[in-house]
Amino acid sequence: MTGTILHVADVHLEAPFSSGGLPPVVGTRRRQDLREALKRALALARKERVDAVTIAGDLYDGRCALPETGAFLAGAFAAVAPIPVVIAPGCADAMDGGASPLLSVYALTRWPDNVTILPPGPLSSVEVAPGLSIWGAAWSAGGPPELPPEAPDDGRRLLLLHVGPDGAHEGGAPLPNGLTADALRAAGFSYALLGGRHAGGAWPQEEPCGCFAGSLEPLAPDEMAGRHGAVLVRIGADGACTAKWQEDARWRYVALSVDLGGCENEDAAARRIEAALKHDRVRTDARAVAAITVTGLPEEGLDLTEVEARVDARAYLTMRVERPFPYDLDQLAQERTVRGLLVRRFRAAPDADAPLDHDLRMKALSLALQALDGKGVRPSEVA
Amino acid sequence: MRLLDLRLEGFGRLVGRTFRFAPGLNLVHGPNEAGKSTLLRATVAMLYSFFEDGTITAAKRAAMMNYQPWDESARYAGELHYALDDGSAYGVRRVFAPRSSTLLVALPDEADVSDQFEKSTRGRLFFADVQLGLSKEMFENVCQIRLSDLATRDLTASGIATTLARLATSATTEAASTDAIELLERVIREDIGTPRSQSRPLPQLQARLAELEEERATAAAAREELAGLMVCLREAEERLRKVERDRQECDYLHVLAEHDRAARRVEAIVEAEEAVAALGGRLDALARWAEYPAQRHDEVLRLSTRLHHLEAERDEGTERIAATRERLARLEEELAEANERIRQLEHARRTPADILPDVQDLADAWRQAEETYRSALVSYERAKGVVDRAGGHLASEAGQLGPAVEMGHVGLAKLEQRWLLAREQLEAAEGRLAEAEADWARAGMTEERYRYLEEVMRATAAGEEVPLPERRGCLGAVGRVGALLMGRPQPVEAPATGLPPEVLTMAQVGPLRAGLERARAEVERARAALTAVRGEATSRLGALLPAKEPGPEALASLAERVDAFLSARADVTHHRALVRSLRDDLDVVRARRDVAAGDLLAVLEEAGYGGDDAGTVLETYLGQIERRRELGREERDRERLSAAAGDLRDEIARWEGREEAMAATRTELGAVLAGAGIAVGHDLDEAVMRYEEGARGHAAWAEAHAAHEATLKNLQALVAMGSREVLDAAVQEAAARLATLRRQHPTWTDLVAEGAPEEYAARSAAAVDEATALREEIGDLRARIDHATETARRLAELDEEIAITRTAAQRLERFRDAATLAQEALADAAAEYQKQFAPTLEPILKQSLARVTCGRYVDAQVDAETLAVSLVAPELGRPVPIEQLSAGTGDLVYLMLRMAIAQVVSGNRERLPLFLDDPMVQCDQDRQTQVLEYLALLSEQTQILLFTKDPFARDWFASTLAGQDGHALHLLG
Repeated sequence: MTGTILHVADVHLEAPFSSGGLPPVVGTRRRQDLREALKRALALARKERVDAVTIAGDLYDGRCALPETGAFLAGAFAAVAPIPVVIAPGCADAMDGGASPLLSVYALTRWPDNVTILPPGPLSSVEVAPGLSIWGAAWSAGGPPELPPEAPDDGRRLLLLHVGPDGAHEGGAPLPNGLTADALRAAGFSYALLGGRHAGGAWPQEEPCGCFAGSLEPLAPDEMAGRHGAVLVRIGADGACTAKWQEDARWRYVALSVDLGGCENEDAAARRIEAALKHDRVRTDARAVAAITVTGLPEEGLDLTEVEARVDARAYLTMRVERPFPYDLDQLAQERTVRGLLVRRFRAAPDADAPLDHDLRMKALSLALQALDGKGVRPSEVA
Repeated sequence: MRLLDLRLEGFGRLVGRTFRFAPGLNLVHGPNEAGKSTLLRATVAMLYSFFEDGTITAAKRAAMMNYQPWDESARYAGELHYALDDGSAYGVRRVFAPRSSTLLVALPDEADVSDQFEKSTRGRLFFADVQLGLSKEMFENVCQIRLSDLATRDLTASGIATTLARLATSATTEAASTDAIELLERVIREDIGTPRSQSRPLPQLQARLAELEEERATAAAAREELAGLMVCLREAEERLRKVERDRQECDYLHVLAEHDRAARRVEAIVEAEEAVAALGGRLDALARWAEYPAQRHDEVLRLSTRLHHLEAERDEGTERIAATRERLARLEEELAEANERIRQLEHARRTPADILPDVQDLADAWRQAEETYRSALVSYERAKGVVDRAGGHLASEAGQLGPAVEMGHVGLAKLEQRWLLAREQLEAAEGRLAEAEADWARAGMTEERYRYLEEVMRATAAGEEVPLPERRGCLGAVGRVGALLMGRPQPVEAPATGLPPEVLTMAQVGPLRAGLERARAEVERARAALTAVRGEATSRLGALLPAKEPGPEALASLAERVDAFLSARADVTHHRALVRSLRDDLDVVRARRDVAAGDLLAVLEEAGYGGDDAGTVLETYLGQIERRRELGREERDRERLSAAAGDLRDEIARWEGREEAMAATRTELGAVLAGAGIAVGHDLDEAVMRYEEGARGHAAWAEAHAAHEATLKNLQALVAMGSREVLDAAVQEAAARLATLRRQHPTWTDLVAEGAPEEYAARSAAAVDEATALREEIGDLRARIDHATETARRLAELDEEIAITRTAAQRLERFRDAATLAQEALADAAAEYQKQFAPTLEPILKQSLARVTCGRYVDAQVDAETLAVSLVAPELGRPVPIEQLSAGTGDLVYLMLRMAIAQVVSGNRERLPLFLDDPMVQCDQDRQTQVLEYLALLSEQTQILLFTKDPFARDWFASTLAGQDGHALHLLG
C-alpha cells in the first residue's frame, strides 16, 4: 500500500529567544511566526491529503506555554480533521509537564478526536490508514523504548520518536538514544520519523531510513545550516520511503562584518552599515536577525548605541566591536615609566590563565592605558 | 645623545636650510611664524617620522602633509646627523613625500645600517625607539618643555612631585597614575555604579533583573493558577456533559414513567370495571344478610368469651381455693401467737429508747474505767507482792550479813588484802626457812652438836672449860662444814690457830644457824600476823566465814554477797517507790470508775432504773431495750401476717364472686341473643353459634358491599384522571416518543422507570438547574481564564528581557572587574615604580647639582613615597624643601629634574636633548637672565635647544655666549 505522511518536529511554540539575545518584541514576532509556520504545514497536509500528520516532539516549549497554546493547537489540528495527527512528545513538551504535572498542555487541552498523543513507555501504535500504522512513544528520560525483536507482518510501520536534547549525530552512527538503522529495519519499520535536531536532514546520510524534520524555522544563529520545514514522506508500494522537505522558513540569521574605519561620526557609520545590510538583502527583511561585527572603529570611538539607533533597517541588529588591542604593548613594555611597568606586569602573567581570565586581564590593561592617556572610557566601548 | 646638524631640503617654510647644532645651548630665535616650531617638528620628524607603528590615520597623514615645503619645487626631505652618548654617530635621510623613504647610515663611513632596525610601510624605520630608548610620544613629552611648563610650573613639593609622577607614569605631564586611578574609579562609580548608588546603571540593571525574575516567578505562578483553572474548567465541562446526559436520561425515564403510568391506569380501569362487575354479583348473592342484626356481634362475642373465662376460672380455682383456705387458717394461728408475744412484751414499750445512745456512751466509759481500774489493781498487787517478797528476803540476808554489811565492801576488801599479804609473807618466810634449814641440813650439824658448840662458845667467851663432845660426830660435822665451806668433801684440817676446832666450826656454821634462827623467827612472825588477821576476820565475821580453814577467798565471796545484798536492797527501795506510785494511780482510776458509774446510774435513775450497782442497773435497762426491739419485730410480723391473710381472704372472696358473675353473664347473653332473634334453649353456646353464623353472613355481605363501593369509587377516580380513550392516546404518544429516543440512544432501551414521572421531572429540573449553575461556573472560569490569559505576562518575553538585562549587567560587571583590576594594577605599578624611580633620580640630580648651582647645593633628596624633592643646604646640613628655595633655584631644579627624567625614562639612559619652546615668555628679564644662565650651565650636561621669539634672550646670548664653543645661536626669519 502507499501513503503520505506530513512530518513535523521541534516547532517549539512559545519558546523564548533569550539565548539569541532577541528582545521581547522580536521574540513575540518570532513566536507568532512559528504558529503561522505550523499553520502553513497543516494547510499543506490538507492540500496533499496526507494519511497522517506526525509530530516528533518539542511541539511547544513547556517552560513557557500557556493553556491557550493548547487551545491554539487543538484548533489547528481540528482544522485538518479527519486527518489523524499523531504526536510523540519530546523533552521540551514532556508529557508529565516537567516539575509541575499541572502544566502539561497535553493534559490541559481538550484535543479533537483526530489527535493521538502517544504516551511514554513501550511503543504504542495508531493505524492511520489500512495497512499503515505509526508506532511511537513519548520521550522519556529513562531511555528509548525497546523495539520489537522481529518484524510482524501487519503492513507498513513507521516509527515516530523524539531522540533527545543532543540528537545531533551525523552519519550512520547510532542515535544518542541507542537506536540504529539496522535495529529499525530488523524490527520491521519502514521509516523513522524523528525529532530532536533543529537542522533537519536524512538519517543516516548514507542509505537513509529516516529523517529529522528539523525545526520549521531556524531558532538560533547556528541553525542556518540544515533543513527547516515540514517533510512529506511518501511510502511507495514497495515500502520504500522518500522524504521531501517543504522549506518555507521565513526567518534567517545573518552574520556581517562591517569596517567602520574612516567613519568620522555615527551617521557615517550608520550609512556604511546600511550599505552592508543592503548588500546582503537584510536591510529590508523584517524577518532577519543580523549580527554585525564592527571593525576599524576610530580611535576616538563612536557611540555604537547611537550608530545602531541611526541604522535604518527592518532587520533586528546586534552589534559587537572587534578591534585590535589599541596599544603597541611591545613598545610600551620598553618604557621606563609606570606605564611600561604596568604593561610588563600584565604580560608577565602566567600563560596558564583561563581564556576568560586572559580576556579580562587584557581588558583591564586596555582600560588602564586608556585611563593613563586621559581618555574617557565607557562601558559600551568594551566588547 | 646630541644633535649634530640638520639639513632640510624642504620642510614647511624651511626650505634649503641647514642647522649645525652646538653640543650645549642652542638658541633658536625668530619672530612668530619664523619656523621655530617647524624646526622642532622637523627634528622630531627626522628621528621618528610622522607615523608610529600601526595604522597610519588620516590625521597623521594630514599632519605630515601640513609640513610640505612651501616651495613646491623643493623635495619634502631632510637629513639629520646625531651622536649617541657612546660616541657613535648616525645620519638619517628621510623623504616624506610623495613616497616616503628612510635611510640610516653610520657615520662617518656612511654605512647603511637601516636593516638593523625594524621597518614598516611609508618609510617607517624605527631606529630612534631603539637608540634613544623612547617612543616618539615619550620623546616629545619628556624632551620638550613647552611654553607654559616653566612659567606656570608649581614649584611646591607636591607640584613637582605631581609633575614627576606624571612624567614617570607615561612620560607625559598630562596623566599621573593617580589621575588614571581616579578616572577609573569615577567610571566605576558613575558609569557602572556600586551597590550603594542605586541610581547607577549596574545597580539599576541588577534591580531590574531582580524585578524581572520576581515578575517571572509571579507569571509562572499565574500560569500554574491558570492551569488549575483549566483543570477546573475541564472538570466543570465534564460535569456539565454528565449532567446533560443525566437530564436527557431523566427526560427519557420521565416519558417512560408517563407511558407506564398511563398504561397502568388503563389496566387499572379495566381491572376496576371487572372488579365492580364481579363484586356486584357477589353482593347480589349475599343480599339476604344485608339486614341481619350483626351490630351486636361484638357484645355477644364479649359476653360469650367472658362466660367461658369465668367457667374456666371456676374450674381451675376449686382446688386452689381449698389450699388457700388452709393457708389462711395457718396464718390466723400465727397471728394469734404473735398477738400473744406482743402482749407479753407490752411492758417493754415504755422503755425509753431515746436515752440509749447516752447510756451506751456512759456504759462504755464506765466499762473502760472499770477495766482500767482492774488493770491498775493487778499491776499494783503484782508490784507489791514482789516488793514484799524481796523485802523479806532482804531482811533475812541482812540478819546474816550484818557484820559484813557493817564492814562494807571496802572493809572486806582491805581485810582480804591484809589476809593475802600475811599469807604471802608467811609463805615467803617459810620458803626462806626451808632454805635455811636446807643449808643447816647440809651443814650436817645436829642440834646437839650445835648446842655443844654454843656451849663451847660460851665457855670460850667466858673462859671456861670447854666440854668435850662426841668427836666423831663433831669431826664429822666439822668435816661436812668444811667441805661445805671449802667446797670440798674432804674434811679440812683445822688450822693451827690455837683455837679449839669447835670455834672454827662455829664460825662456819654460825651464820647458817643465825640465818635459820632468823628464818624461824620470821616464820613465827608471819604466822602470828596471819593468825592475827584470821582472828580478826573470824571475830568480826564469825559464821560468815567457812568454819574449816577460812581463807581470804571467803572474803571475796562474802564481798560479792554484800554487793548483791546492797543491790537487792536498792531494788527493793526502788520498787517500793513504784508500788507507791501504782497505788496512787489506782486511787485515781478508782475515782474515775466511781464517777463513770455515778453518771451512768444517774441517767438510768432518771429513766426509772435505780440501783447501786451500775452493772446490774445497766443490764436491766439494756434488757428492756432488747425487749422493746423484739416487740417491734413482733408487731411487724403481725402486720405481715395480717396482710397475707387479707390477700388470701380476698382471693377466696373473688373466687366466690365468679359464680355470681357467671350467672349474670348467662342472663345477659341470653337477652342479647333473644334481642337478635335467636331462640335461646338450654345450650347457650349453640345459640351463640347460630348468631355467629348470621353475623358472618352479614359481614360477608358488608365486605362485598364495601368492596363494591370502593372498586366503584376507584373506577370513578381512575376515569376522572383520564378516560380510557385519553389514556390510550397518551400511551401511544409516549410509546412513539420512547421509540424515537431509543433510536437516538439505543442503550436506553434497557432502562426501567422505577420511579414516578414526577420524580423524574423533578430530577430533570434539578439537572437543568445544575446545568445552569455549571454553565455559569464554566462561563466564570472561562472569563477568568481569558482574563488570566490576557493579563498573563508571557514567560518567553520575560525570559528574553531577563536575558538581555542579565547580559547587560554581566557586561557592566565584566567592565567593572576589568576597571577594578586596572585600578589595582596601576596602583601597584605606581607604587613599585616610585620606589625604583626616586632612587634612580637622585644620583642623576646630584651629578649636576653642584656644578649648575656653583656649589651652592651639592646634595638632593627625592622622597621615594611622595617624590618630593629637597636640596641639602651645606650650611644647614639638612634638606630644604623646594618651596623654600628661590625662584631661580626652583627653575633650575625643575629643569634638572626634567633632564634627569629624560635620562631615566630613556631605555639606554641616553642624555637626551631638551627642547624648550619659549619657556620664559612670562618671566621678567632678571629671571630670564637667571634661567638663561642656568640653561647655559645645564647645557654642559646635556644639549639644549631653546626656541624663543624674545629679543632679550637673543641679545643676552649674543652678549654672553657668542663666540663660546659649545653654544650656538640660530636665527630664523
